[in-house]
Amino acid sequence: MKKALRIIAAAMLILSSALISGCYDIVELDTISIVTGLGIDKADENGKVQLTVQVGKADAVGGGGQEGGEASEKAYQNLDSVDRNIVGALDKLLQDNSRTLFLHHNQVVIFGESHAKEGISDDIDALMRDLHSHLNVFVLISETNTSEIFNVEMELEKIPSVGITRMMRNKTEISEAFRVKMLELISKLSDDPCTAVLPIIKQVKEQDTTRLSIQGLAVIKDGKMVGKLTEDQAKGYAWALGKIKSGYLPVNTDKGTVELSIKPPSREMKVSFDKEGIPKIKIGIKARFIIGQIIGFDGLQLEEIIEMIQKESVNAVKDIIISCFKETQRLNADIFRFGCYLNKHHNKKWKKIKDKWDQIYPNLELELTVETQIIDTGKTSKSPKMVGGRLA
Amino acid sequence: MFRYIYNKLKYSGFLKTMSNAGEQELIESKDDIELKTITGSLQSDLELIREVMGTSPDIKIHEFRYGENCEFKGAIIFVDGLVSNEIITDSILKPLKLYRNFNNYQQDSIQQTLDTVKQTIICAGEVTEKHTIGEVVESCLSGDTVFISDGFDKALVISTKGWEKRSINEPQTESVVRGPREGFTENFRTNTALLRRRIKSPKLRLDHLTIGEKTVTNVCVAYIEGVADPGIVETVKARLKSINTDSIIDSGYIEQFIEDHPFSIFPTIGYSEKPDVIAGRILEGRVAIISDGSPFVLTVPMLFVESFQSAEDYYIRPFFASLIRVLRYVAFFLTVTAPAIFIALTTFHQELIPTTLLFTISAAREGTPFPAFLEAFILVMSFEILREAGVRLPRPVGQAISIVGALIMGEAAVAAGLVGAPMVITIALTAVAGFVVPEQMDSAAIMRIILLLLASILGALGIALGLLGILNHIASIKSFGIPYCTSLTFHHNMQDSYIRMPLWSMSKRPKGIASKDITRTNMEIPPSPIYANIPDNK
Repeated sequence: MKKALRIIAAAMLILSSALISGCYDIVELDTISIVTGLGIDKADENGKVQLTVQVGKADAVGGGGQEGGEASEKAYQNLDSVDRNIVGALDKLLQDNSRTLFLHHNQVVIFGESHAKEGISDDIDALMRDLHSHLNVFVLISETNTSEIFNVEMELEKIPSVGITRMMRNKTEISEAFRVKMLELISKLSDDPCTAVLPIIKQVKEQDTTRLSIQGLAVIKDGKMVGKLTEDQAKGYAWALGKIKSGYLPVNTDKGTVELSIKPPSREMKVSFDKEGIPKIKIGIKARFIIGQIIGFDGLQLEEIIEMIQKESVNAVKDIIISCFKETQRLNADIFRFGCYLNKHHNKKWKKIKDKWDQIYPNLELELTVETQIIDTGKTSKSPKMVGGRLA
Repeated sequence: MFRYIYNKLKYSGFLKTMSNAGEQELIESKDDIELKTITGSLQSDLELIREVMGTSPDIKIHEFRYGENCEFKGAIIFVDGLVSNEIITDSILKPLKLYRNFNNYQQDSIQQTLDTVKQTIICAGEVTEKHTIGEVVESCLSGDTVFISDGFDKALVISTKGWEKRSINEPQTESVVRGPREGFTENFRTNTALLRRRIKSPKLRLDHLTIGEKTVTNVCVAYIEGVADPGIVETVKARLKSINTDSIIDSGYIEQFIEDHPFSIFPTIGYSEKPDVIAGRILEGRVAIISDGSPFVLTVPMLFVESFQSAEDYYIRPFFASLIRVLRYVAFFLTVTAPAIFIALTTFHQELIPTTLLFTISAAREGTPFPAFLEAFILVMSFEILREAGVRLPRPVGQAISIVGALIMGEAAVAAGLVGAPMVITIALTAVAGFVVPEQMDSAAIMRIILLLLASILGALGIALGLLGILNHIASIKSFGIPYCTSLTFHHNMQDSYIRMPLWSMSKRPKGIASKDITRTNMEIPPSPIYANIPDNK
């Protein structure tokens, strides 16, 4: 019977250990604060980094059924800390906080422009190594200090950083080229011509309110931000990669303007080399459009209009691609990753020109062929302005 | 795991002392009186019987005279309430007392008088001769009437069983929307009759034996000869015969005495209250065990998939039946794992919860005083308490309990901030899903608590370990020689496990259970519609 008692005692010990303590890495939900956004800026102090952490307040965000959480109460809290680097800053925040920062649910990482111009590689290294941050977060560049961005209240979203991710998802609807997640950024920054683009988020001040807008792309080269692309140039970038999915392309002709709804194009790329081994890039794009709106074109038949805009749209597409390409040549940043393509497909030739790529790229020749096709006229083949099959 | 605990217990001497104590109590030598034979002297015989049976008022001894000139002295002994009074008056007393033609026969011997009484006078269905006091008393106590007479060294046992019995009702545990509604009763004969009525084949065997020193319970092993595996039938009989106990009150006693794995939380013997279910299982080649006094009939061997099969599955068309069956598996999985998964997610793997959901859950957790595990444990336990209370209490009070349970436990506890609403929802889902698979309800409750403990210690790893252990265990156990997991894995016939195939496609009885007569249906697959009297069915 003694042994039996001993076994019962052991069982009770095991039970009570489970009941009383729990495991070493147990995390109760009321001991964490859920981080939804990280902002990294240059601090006023020289050589230091300012870290802004946006934390969602569970009471105000969730618990719809519960009382409390008044409408006026903010659903988020921004914590700032300045330290030598982001690891130090995070550590500081941890010590000054009643709860553990829970980074698993981080949604966005935003770099301030001034900080990005000095280089973001070191910060990315820290974020990459941290066990608790995942790599599926959006990375953006902000024109202003990130704490300002995180303080812009959104009408429909309770937490700005969650709102920003939703904005990013909408942006992805236009082109996946605009969506950069941490994992992609890391892989691009570790490639040979080390270039990447990041979407730019800015505040747009209107009469009383401020709202956020994601416009244009920041060009990152060798871990530093070297320049910006406008929204149109950004679209050119998406076109050149063949990654544009939707959106509208305005086509202007002498007779009028047409808004063309973009359908995913097909794109192919070829490279030829001259005697000196200098490559020449050929990009062929087959674009498909649906007519979105017709303005003008009085007295013309639909077939004539379609023929006209099919020609004109070729130039329109070419224009925005070339404008983007020229800008990148000016910045000497190979964001189209031609270098990577050469490395992959023409490895031997690439090795010869690799070191000279910075000299080659600004003068790189790009042969662009664009074919366009109007595949549909939308829901109607007529127009309210039509008289006898012609536009009045 | 269970074997480990078993061994531990065995070595600790815990079991030994227990079983020894049991044996000493059980083994009791038969009274010498019971072995005595009928002497032939009425007075001394009655004396002996009175001595054995005591002086309970329900034991009636009726002495009378009969014969042409009332020259014979006789007595009938019966237990009031167990016998049908009509049979006794109309078939025994009236004919005996009014019969005057003894002289028509040659009264050479006492034996011939006895034969006359037995063959000519008494008009009951079954009359047998018994020799010892013990046999007489036993027959008496099982509802028969015993006739003894001066000069006879034998007793006549006349079948007069006729006690008050419950009528055949719809069983409360296994109600169906479509299908037969009758259920077994506590009456042994009614139950066997119900079975006979469903299977009219003469091959249906009902092998009878009695178990229990004091209860002397009639037990019957029912199977179809040629369909049931003779090995299993013999095993069942051998195990039944090996039961050495004083009482069998319910078939549940038998289940616990003959099951393969008494230390497993999983039942390895099936049961049902419905004759159609039992008939169906017997026709699949299973062996049924009917026990007197219990409306629950046992069937062996039991497979794990059997818990997920309901009688109604076969009465409705296969499509919906299959959908429901898949849902039963899902519900079973939910009821076993839902609280554990919830605990693992909210205390170890918050990164797996979508952000908005995490905010909602953590808002509910905000301000609740107990750790998540304790919260879940309290709720699971209080649900079990509520369920138990609801079952045991008389129906009008039961309603009050459910209102108190629902309002106070759910609403007030959440409103007071003692428990979070998501936790209550999880436990409620668990509770509701548990009722979908009634046969595994008790094993599910135990597994749920084990997994909950493991999840609170090791998170998802704990759940995985727990599930592996459970899987390992059910893969290792057998029911009467048939692996418990038969039909659950892909190399067995699965026509009736995860989905229910159309009846015409289940042309063979399940492999492993049935022995020789394997074919069930012998028709074209799928059966083409036959048109009679329609000359041209275009």
